[in-house]
Amino acid sequence: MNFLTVRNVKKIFNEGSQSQSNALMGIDLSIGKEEFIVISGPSGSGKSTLLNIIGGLDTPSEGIVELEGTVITALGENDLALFRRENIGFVFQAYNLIPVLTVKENIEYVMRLMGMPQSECDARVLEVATELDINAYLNKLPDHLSGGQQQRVAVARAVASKPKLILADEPTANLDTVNGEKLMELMRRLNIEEKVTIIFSSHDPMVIEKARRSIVLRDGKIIEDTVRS
Amino acid sequence: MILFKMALRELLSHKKRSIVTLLLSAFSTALFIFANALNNGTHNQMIRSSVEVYPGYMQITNRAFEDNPNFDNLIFDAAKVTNTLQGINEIKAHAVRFEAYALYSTNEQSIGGMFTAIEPEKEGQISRLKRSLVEGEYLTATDTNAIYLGAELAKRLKIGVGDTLSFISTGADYSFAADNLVVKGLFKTKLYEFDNGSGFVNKGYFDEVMHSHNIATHIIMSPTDIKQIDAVTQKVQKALDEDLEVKNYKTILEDLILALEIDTIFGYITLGIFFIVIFFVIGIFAFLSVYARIRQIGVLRAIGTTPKQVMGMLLIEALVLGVLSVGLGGAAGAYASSHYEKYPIEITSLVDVDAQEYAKQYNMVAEATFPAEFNPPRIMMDMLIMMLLNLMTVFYPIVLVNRFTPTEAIRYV
Amino acid sequence: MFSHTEMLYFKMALLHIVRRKGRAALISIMIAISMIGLLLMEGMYEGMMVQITQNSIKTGSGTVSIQHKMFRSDNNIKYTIANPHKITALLDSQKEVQSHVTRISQRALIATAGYSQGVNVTGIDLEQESSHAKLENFIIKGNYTFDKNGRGALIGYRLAKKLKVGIGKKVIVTMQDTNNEVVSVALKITGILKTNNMAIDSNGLLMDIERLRSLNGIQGATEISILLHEQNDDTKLIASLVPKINDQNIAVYSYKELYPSLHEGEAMMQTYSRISSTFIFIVATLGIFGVVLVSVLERVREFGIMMAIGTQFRDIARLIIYESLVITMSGYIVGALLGGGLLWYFKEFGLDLSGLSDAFAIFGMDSSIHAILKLEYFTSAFISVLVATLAATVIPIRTLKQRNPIQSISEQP
Ligand SMILES: Nc1ncnc2c1ncn2[C@@H]1O[C@H](COP(=O)(O)OP(=O)(O)OP(=O)(O)O)[C@@H](O)[C@H]1O
Ligand SMILES: [Mg+2]
Repeated sequence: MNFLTVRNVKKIFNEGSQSQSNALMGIDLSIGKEEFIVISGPSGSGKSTLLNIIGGLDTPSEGIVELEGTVITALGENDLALFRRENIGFVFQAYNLIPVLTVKENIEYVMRLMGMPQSECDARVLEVATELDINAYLNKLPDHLSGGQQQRVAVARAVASKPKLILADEPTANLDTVNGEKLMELMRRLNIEEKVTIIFSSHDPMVIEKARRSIVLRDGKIIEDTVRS
Repeated sequence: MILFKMALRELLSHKKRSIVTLLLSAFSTALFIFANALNNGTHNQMIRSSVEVYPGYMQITNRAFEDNPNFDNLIFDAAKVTNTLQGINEIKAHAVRFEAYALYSTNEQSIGGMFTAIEPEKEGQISRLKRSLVEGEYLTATDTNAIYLGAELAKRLKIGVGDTLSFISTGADYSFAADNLVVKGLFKTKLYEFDNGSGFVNKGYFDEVMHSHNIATHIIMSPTDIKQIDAVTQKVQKALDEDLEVKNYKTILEDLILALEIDTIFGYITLGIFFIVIFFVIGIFAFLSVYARIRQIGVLRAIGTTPKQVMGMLLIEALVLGVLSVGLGGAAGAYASSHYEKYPIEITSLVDVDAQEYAKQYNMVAEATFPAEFNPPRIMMDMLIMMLLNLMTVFYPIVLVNRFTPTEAIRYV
Repeated sequence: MFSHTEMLYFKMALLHIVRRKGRAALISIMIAISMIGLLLMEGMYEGMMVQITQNSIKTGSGTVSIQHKMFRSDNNIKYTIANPHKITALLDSQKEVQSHVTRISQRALIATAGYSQGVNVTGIDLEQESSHAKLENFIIKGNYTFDKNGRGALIGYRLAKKLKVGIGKKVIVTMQDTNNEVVSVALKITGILKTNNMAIDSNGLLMDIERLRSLNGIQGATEISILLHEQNDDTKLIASLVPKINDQNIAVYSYKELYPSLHEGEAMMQTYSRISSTFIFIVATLGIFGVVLVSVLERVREFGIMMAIGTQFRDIARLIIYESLVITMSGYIVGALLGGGLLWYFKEFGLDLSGLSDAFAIFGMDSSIHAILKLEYFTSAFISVLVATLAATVIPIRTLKQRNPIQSISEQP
């Protein structure tokens, strides 16, 4: 049995109206545990839409998504929130962190929602922060960090609650090349050390290179799915 | 817990907005409490003075007297009634009256007016008649041919203390009654019509000339506890003969009480307009603060915060602001209420001309002081209402923000 | 008209509003609701005041009243206008005067079989009164007549209720004549009046003036009551009358002097609405300010880009002002239409409160309140909205300038 299955997922926005757009036109995917996948493709090809549907942020017009036996496309709003909390970590392009919480509080946010005791949270934050080299600013507010630092905190938050799957939609788009590469290396390391499955999207060839498996979308369809050795 | 922390930090990170919201809501609370306190205090005072000047809190009459106020419908055994009243603990004091009409004449003038017999001592305990003395002396139980006259009436009759006037009236047995009276004292209540048209004599003397031994038109009572007045009224009614009727001020002063209620309603209408605007503004601020965070809320939702938790967080913010502002406003309102209960607001410009004129026109008691009422349960109630209003202001933003899906929220520009 | 760029800014303003319609709607609704509230409050309260004043003026002493100068403080029949015809002839030639009536008023005693009380007897001429204030319209029972023999009387409904008399019943009226002799007359009740002028309703009896003259021997009159075409011409008329009458003993009063409480009540109401509306608009300004500030701050970069491609800051300020004005003025228009519509309705058809009519009568009001509708309400509200809007944009525009929009383009989003 696969870790993650995407079967015949279609997404049509504003169906029937003038501005109808067929963002996804039948996506089939099988993803194994601990894979490190990049989704690329031109702007508007459906990368974000696909990631959102996999993460349960959006519902497909047709088709199903199944993660370790749970058909997430069948869950209701509330169950979805709980499901995401337990199983999925997100990293977004920007506006990622909660401005009123400190770096440490941002990282532990999901664990706190899950009701983890403070001592465990503290230990885990320390562990992740050391791994990502953000110890120095744990007590700062996100505003005071650079873009690259913020993205690392976002990754820390995504990984801290030990999700099964991390989804990152263009995590490097707002970063310069050096910082972008650094972030990718970090995620790659986490993928191995934390044994977490990671799917991310990107335009950047330098970034795409870093992935083992590369999926290319165009006009809502998969046109390429290659695994590098 | 983390949600609570976030709510607090959110408020702190927008200090100006939070303070403006807080002050607006605190101000409304204080205003609401104080307006209510002033309204109640002033109305209570009006009722109290109207009641205490003369009508009394409770009265007994012959059941037929209201429809036919003639001498066939009197209390013909006043002693029996007063004996009964003596045995009722809830009645603090009572006094017997006989109200008649007379034509008062001096050499120059004849003026019709009330000619009423009272028990001077007992009357002094029950109405403000004794306290309203402005010149001369009040009556005693041994007085004969002495009248305690309204100051305005005396002015019209052009007489003063020590002067003589005569009266013509009809006795309780419909006989002709007339005698000379010496003015013993003058009184001035705040009830113009009353000062302008009534005179009082000792009942012992009155009974001789008017043939009204043991007969009364009214027996006035005051209860030990005014709050229990309806129950006491019923109790007294049960203890009396069928042909007698007990009424309390709520019926006697029905018109006044209704008028005061209308006044209250008008007050609420004005306050209502204020509050709509104030809470609209508070609501607008809440709305803006939520909308500024839509993307952030999208992220929160994406990483597993449920819509209920988002709602909880926003409610906590409103609750914190609400508790602070209602507490602050409540304290201010309560302080003002208790202060102005002890030291009523005085509008001195009203004292002379206007209050007098107003009182003349509407036959109400003229007051130039406006006391508030310090009533803690009532204040708590007002605070609760304001708290609910505060919470209501975030409902619209909550509903709106929860309409967004997480992705829409994150994409929101 | 507007220039081309002006139109462009206007269009941009509209587009921005549409993009953020939620908050724009909140502001518009807030202004509309407060407008409706204020309009209703002003219009209805003023309607009430006018009604109270009119009720007293019409059936009472008129807009201008001529009396013996002592009569007001001492209602003694010694103090009469000896030669009323001379004065009425003068009045006929004054163009401000709409109508006038000559009356004799006297305090008297009214008695039924078993009850008597004080009463204000006024001798009137039915025809004169009819063309003066349409007195016949106030008859609620019986007819507008004194019968052929002149032995009829009209009395106030409250007095009738108290005396338990109906149409056709006899009452005995006792008074003093000019020789200080007590005289009595039996009158038959021919009509019952409800004027909402308390002096008549609860204390008044109207009888034929000639019959009263033959009874008390007064040849002149105690009062000439005058109604004007324009109520505000009172001072003008008084100024021109006094020298023409040229009699030290005759005083000419305006209703403002005769009913100071009414006049001051009117002034107090006006101050009250003015304070209320000022307060409401200050609070509303805060709300507008919050919205403008947020919508300016979230567009700093956008404005920066506009400036980078050559827009002057002045024009950006103008854009912001237009945007705010469109929002608030649409609220104003909706509020003016709805509030004005409601007021118009209440002006035409009145607000019926007949269930409470007795209580309203205490205040001198009818059971149906007719609103007043003045252009002034709308212009002053317009100015208030305009000022509030402009005031609300001052700080946001200044803040925007400080943020230096052009520089903000290069900053992180
Ligand atoms: N909420 C939405 N409403 C309507 N159309 C949408 C919505 N979201 C996406 N689309 C449309 O769906 C298509 C795919 O969009 P998507 O954001 O998935 O592309 P993408 O590959 O992520 O592009 P980019 O590289 O620019 O981020 C586009 O044509 C877009 O216009
Ligand atoms: Mg995308």
